[in-house]
Amino acid sequence: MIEANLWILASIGLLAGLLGSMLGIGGGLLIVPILTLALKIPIQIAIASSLVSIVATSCTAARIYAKNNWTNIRLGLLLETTTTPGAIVGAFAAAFLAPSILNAVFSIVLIYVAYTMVICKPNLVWDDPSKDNPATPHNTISEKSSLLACSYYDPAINETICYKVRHIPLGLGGSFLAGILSSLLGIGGGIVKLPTMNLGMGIPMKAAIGTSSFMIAITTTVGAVVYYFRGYVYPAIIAPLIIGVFLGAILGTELAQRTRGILLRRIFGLFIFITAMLMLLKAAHILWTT
Amino acid sequence: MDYVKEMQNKDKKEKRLNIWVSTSLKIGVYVSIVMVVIGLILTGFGNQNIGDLVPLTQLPSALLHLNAAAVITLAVLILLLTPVSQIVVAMVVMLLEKDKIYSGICLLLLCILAISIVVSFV
Repeated sequence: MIEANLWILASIGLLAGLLGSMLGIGGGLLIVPILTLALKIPIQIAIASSLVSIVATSCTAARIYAKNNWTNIRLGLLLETTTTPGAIVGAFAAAFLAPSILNAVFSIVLIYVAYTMVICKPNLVWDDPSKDNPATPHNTISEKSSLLACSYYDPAINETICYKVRHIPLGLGGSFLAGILSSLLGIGGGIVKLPTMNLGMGIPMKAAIGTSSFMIAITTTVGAVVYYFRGYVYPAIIAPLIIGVFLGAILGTELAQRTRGILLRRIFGLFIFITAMLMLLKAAHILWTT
Repeated sequence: MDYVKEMQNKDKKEKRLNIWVSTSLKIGVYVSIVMVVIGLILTGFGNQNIGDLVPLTQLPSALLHLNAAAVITLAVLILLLTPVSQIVVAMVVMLLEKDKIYSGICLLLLCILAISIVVSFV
């Protein structure tokens, strides 16, 4: 039986829920490394705990975004047709891969996330209708020609943003990859979904965040169900984490609507990079000793 | 003019769908959170061991005995059913709108979720 301090786990959940929903990256990037590195919990159990916690975070965030009409539900459902099979593939791969390999893959993903947060200029396109870029929303109702076209009100610029959806096959492919990564590593998969939707499919950032949250709830459920029935979910770990991420997600989602948090992204990016190095060292240590 | 009306009507439908999905998520998450809190109270906030998840077959009787692990197991199950409920709600709304394509996509997703449960026992 695995036991850990309730208040420490709740604090980890709170931090993960807050930063995950504020930065749109999902709390799994924090939960898995902290559980494995600091609390010495086996990585498969950390991944299972992370996935169940992300269901709580993403449901909380998706509820608020859907209420604000940021979510393109039809698009989310369509993309989930490839994400969910990817999630099943990822969950099975994780069960058969050695923990050292999972640590190494997780580290590589963390390094990529840290790079995009700290070194690389922010390449995602925020909702500025005046910009001539791939994600520039179309503000005339006549542009709303396709079934997936949608609109939402953006209080930051006091305008209703209408947009079309393009490159659907690219979105389906990116979603499949996001599904695999989600269940393999216990993350939401937003690190793949957001760039795919925003840069590849021309969806404005806020609509991409809302739709991504809606999708992550479904994707992580598929992965979590596989881990649940395989016996990797422990109540002593999951209960305080759920409470923590729930409170963190509520706070983070409210803050996300008011801030872009570039400084926060960079500080968090550095933290992620250090965590990646620690996980890589752990993976290498296991590889060297076995 | 008809086109503008059609688009405005579509926006109304999208908003209605978003409200229904948002409501189903709210109910699922809040019920689950309340159950987790009850489970933690039953353990005296971590002073007693919670134990492992309770198997589904033993869940009803364990719940009747106010077993903390059983309450948390039920909370986790409700949480995992919440995203499923948003697909069901979306499917019902789309069936009412006679949107056959997307109600079919919802059905396909529910089938994939069922497959994930079956394959987890393999």
